[in-house]
Amino acid sequence: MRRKCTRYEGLMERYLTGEILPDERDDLEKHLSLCPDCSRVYRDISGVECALRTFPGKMVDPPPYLKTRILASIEGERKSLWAFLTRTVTAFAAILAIFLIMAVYGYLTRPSSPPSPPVAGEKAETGTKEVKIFFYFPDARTVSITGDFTNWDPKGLPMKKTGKKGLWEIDLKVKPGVYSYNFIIDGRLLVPDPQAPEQTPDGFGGMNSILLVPKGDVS
Amino acid sequence: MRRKVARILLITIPLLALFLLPPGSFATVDISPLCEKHGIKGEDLTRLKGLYGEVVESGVSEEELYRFFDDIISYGLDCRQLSRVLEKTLRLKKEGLPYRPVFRKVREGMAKGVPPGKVVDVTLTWGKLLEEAAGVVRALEEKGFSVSDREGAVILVAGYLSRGYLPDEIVERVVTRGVKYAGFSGLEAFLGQGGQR
Repeated sequence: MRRKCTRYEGLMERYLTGEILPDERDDLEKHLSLCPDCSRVYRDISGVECALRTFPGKMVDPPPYLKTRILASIEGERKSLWAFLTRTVTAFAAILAIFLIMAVYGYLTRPSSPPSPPVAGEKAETGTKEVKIFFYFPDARTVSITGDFTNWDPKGLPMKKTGKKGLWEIDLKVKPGVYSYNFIIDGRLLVPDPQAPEQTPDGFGGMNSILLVPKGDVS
Repeated sequence: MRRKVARILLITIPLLALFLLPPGSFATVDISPLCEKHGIKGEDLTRLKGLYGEVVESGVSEEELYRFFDDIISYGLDCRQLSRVLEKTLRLKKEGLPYRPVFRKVREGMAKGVPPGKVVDVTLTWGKLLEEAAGVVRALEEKGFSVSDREGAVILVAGYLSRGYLPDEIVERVVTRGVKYAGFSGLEAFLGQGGQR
């Protein structure tokens, strides 16, 4: 069979089944009369077709339940596919819901800002009172004050010299309350305030001075 | 029916888990990296995280707690010492007592260069004194004294207790001699004079 004859193969099948168009039929018949290869192929195909038609077998009707079974099986497959999709979607929705709930909870309970170290001399908040503290220590080169109001910052708040020799002072802004404090002499030594009205053991073997800031008038 | 049950479970289990998870499971700042940096891992870490979360849930600001926790763990407190401080904080907070004096006492010990073990012992003793002092202030209130600053009064009374006064002794002296002449001059700033004499 030549290469150009390939298009006649499809025509042959349709010719045998009677589905060919008149123009195509004329064209095919003309070609079969001229082309020995295609003519041989056509004979082979039509021979098989003829043999099948004349096969001495008995026609068997399908059992009546076959169609029902096939349809039920198809329906079952459809249903199981639908169920699988439903389960999957539900599971994803549930997981998504969990993440959403946790995300909302986390957002609502988030900390306001990352912690930062306390700063000595931080600007006083509202509702504070001014307290002036003096300390006499003539031999000191530097004097600082530390205590509950500085969160016991080891450096403390530096005190400044007054006009009088050996006398140091500082203005504090603190909220009303009770504060323990000490002075830091030359960056190392912690000593209590001898002028403080109250002193109490610090539990570590030393003493703390007590600063009382009542809610009434400024001390 | 089974499908319905499965759907109900899918919805209820996460919701139940949300509310039944142990306290502290939702502490928003994870202290794990901080703890691991200082060699605290495994069960110790789990325990600390739980306690930390409970303290946050009790109402202590997480920013304040994290800063404190960071400072004390960096100072060298071990897991047991950290747990004891957190437990004391939690207890005071739950009893409605001031917890900040505990934080301050720890920081005071750190500023004074006291070893971690001693810092914790003194802090816990101070915490106990605060609880006793709260009882003294309550007793004075029951005797008719007005308290203008409860936290201040509690801290001040805890200071008197640390000097060796007994709770009943303080109450008795204030009641019998009056606030002004009881020998606790600081209390004048926080106790009203309208009590029984």
